Amino acid sequence: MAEVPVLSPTDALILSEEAYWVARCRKGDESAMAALVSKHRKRLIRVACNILRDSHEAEDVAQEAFVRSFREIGRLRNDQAFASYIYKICVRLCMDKLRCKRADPGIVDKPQASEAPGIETKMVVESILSTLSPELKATLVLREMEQLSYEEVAEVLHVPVGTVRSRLHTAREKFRAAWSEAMREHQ
Amino acid sequence: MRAPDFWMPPTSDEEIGLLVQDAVMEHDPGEAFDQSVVREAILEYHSRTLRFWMPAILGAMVGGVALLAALELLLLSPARVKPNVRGQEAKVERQVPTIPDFTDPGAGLSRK
Repeated sequence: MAEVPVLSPTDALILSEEAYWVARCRKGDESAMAALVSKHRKRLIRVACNILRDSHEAEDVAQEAFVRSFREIGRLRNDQAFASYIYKICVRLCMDKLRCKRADPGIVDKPQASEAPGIETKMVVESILSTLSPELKATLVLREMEQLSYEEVAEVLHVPVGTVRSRLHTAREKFRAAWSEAMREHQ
Repeated sequence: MRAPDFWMPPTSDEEIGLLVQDAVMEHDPGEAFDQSVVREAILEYHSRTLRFWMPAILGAMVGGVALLAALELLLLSPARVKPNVRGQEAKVERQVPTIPDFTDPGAGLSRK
């Protein structure tokens, strides 16, 4: 039998507040939509940025995720599950976008230059990530950048936990091989 | 744990994790994003509501026009049916055109 998580009073308050906003959002309340967007914006844009590696595309995808979730909010059974619901929509939209990009040979992923320290490492990592398939990339990003557990990654990607483990293993192997290759070329 | 040396290939899963975490992107578009999302969501909500009610609105409009047309036809009809009063049969009133009487052209003129 599944273990029922014990919520602290603060968590319970936050969840009930979220359920309140979701219920109002169903009726087309503008302030409820604004509250939900403001609350989940950062998290959604961050995950979209990390998967797509493009801040403008990430904004577009996050916006689409919000609009779609508000449109289909009637189907949401548990009002307190809005956060994971919208997160899943966003990740799936990102994967669709990546698949479209891979199908279109005219679009080539280029690592974006930045002035942050460790730029060289970052650019190599970005170029390696761009060579991974959407599934492997999303799995690696969710696990390593978003720090989700195997179970959470499996739930978001709608695959079994075993598939997550195998994808992670493949992604790491490919990453390792690509890294060695990149270093050989650099030297 | 320290980040691995740049030139050395990552050996463990943790090292790969650290390298990937190095490339984390943070981006916050701010309030403008919120406003644009809410605007689009509200627009979408209203257009969806309109789409939902559109068949009913169109049906009501067509019904209303049909009703008006029927009333108009009924009121302008030359043949009106009177209700059966005092047990009489319904009587149809027709407007018969009046024809002038030309049989006696001199009628009405005075002779001196």
